[in-house]
Amino acid sequence: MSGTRRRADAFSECHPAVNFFYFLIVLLVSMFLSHPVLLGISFFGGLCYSVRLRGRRQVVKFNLLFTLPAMVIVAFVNPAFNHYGVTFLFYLKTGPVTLEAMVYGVVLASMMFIAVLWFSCFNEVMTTDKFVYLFGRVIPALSLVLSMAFRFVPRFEAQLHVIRKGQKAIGRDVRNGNVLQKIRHGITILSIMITWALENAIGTSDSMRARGYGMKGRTAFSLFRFDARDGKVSAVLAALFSVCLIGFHKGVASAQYNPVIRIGGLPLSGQSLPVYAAWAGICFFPVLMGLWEDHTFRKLEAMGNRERHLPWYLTDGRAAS
Amino acid sequence: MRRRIVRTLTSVLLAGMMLFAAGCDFSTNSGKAAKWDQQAGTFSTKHEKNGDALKEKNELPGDGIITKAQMKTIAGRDGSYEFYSEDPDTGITYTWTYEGEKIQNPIEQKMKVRFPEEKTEKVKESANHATVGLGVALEKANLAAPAKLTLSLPEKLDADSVVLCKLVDKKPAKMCGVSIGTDTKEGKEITTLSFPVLEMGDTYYLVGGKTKADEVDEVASGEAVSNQADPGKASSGEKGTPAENSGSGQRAAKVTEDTSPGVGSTQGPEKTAKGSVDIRDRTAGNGKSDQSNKDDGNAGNAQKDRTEKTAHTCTISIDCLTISANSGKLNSSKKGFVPKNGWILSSKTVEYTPGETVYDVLYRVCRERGIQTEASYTPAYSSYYVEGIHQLYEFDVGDLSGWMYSVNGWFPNYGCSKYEVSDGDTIAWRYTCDLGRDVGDQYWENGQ
Repeated sequence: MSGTRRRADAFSECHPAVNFFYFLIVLLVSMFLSHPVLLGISFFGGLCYSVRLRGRRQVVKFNLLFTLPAMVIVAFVNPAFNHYGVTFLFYLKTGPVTLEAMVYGVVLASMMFIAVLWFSCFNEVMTTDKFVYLFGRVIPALSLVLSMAFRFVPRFEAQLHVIRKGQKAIGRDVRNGNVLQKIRHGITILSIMITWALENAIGTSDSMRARGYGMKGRTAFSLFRFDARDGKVSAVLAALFSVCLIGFHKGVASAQYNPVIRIGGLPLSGQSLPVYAAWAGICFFPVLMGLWEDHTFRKLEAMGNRERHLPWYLTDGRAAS
Repeated sequence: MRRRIVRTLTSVLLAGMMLFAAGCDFSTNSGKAAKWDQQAGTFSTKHEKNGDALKEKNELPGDGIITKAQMKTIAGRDGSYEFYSEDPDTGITYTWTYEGEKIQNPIEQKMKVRFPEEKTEKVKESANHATVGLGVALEKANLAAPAKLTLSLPEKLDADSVVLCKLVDKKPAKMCGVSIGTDTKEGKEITTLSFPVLEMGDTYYLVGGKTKADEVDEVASGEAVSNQADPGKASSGEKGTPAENSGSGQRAAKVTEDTSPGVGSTQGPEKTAKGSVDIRDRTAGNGKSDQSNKDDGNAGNAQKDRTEKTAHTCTISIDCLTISANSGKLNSSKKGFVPKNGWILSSKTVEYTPGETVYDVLYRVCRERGIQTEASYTPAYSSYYVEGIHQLYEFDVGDLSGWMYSVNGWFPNYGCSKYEVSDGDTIAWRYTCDLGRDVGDQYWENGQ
């Protein structure tokens, strides 16, 4: 992260309301319609956007380390405890292990995986100030609590670095001493962290109150304007989503795994194809928008460079050809 | 750096898991403590004045109530336990017989029986002018086990076939047959009527009459005088029901003696008497006629065959008949799995190994036939709970739906993997859409 320059993302610069409703729709559809095609599209969309926002290395590492094992566990746990389905594989004391339950386990796991992917994007795009801007006046207490909760893990991690460095300086890191001492140091650090977290939460809420948070007429720190581009983006997304909704209503997105697997909309037909295309449009929208903006920016930059007759070593090198 | 953080987080997680494990351990300890308390409880009731441990034969208290603590003392024990009392108005002595091993979940039993006479005349009239009619009112309560009720009438009854009826829409409907026996009391011949009690909380009617006048006397006297009457004579009797019953009774008695010759020598008569009662009850319950008339010559072989054949078989059936009446509430994805006639498995006689439970039999039968089942073990009841059979799960037909089981007509008040199957049991798995009310379970009606 430190080495790579953080890219400007076009979709992140849209109005928070657009961002919020976009993620709401994508997450709800991915989590409640367990249709394999929709999930697949959602997965690739989420993966591309996540890579774009956070860099390839981090996304791959995180997913291989945490999400994939969790996914495998869920996929195998489901058929062990649910025995619905007509295709028996082998028997347990509580009933047969079935293919249907196994497939649903995989679907469930991928659903979780996709939700995690999209949430990682959500965290990057919907920063705390955006969240507070959106909900600070409607539900001040809840939005503050939520924004604190969203920020909790990254802040906790950052603080852990600080505390551990401090402890290490006085020889009380978790790597110092024998096992017993290591445990004792670990517990001390944990205790420090919890104390800090609790105190910090109270400090934040006190500070917010001191600044008149939630009072009438108070404005947010960041100001966002709903401009023409936001209007266009909303219109395109709304059009795509209405196509999807019509398709969902017609049963293109219906999926049943218990007791028999029945997937609606397959094989691809004139009815289902536009719906999947529209859904792909929604899922890839932020990436496409970002790419288009990058392209436009590069074009403009090159044009500007040409008009100003800058020598090549002063241009960014990006617009060389 | 990151790796170290991961390590720290893992150690924190581990610590959490250890705490959790410790918590679990604590809870098991408390579980043990609870069990110990229970034991202590039964122990203390032993020394209480009212809560004496039940004996094989007990006189009922005035209110006819046997408490939960008392029932606990015979729960799961071998042998049968009798509770008797005499109705002061009619002079009828009634005896409840419980099989100790069928009681797994002891509950309070209300065994008082009244003999109301208000409607008996009407019932007799509507039952084709029966000569005998007796109202038997049972308390509204749940049974801890299927019980047998035996009535010793103060006089000799002039009837050879009696059935147990219940008023359904003011008309008597037959529930089961009643076996008739005779006994002597104070030098007088009296009639005993016994029938299985599978439901309570209503007034039931014993209705009967005389079909063949001559045989009753002969057979009755034969049984009363000697238990060791020769089998040839008994089985040569005509096809009348009492003759058959007594015949099978004696033959069964012989079998018991054969199998345990050592014990039989001193307590012979008592044992045979008990055996005869047992078998007679069973034949009456099954409603099957004996084959005694056919194989007179090699009676011994026939007995042997029969005991071997029936020793390890039970009957199992699975139905979802109640769904057709509630098809509006049926989960749409399960429509294809409701059989047209409502039977998933029509009554099948299967073999079992002794010690197998109802769940074991269901699991094996369904596995052999490729019927899907799902069950989950519930530690609180230490039994498997059957969630679904043939893709039909609990709650698939409304909130009150699910699978229930009955054995010989009784819906046990404990789990299916605690009920050990015994000879000739008829297991019925039934899908209910109304917490058992629509399949004949009275648990919610008769409960407190």
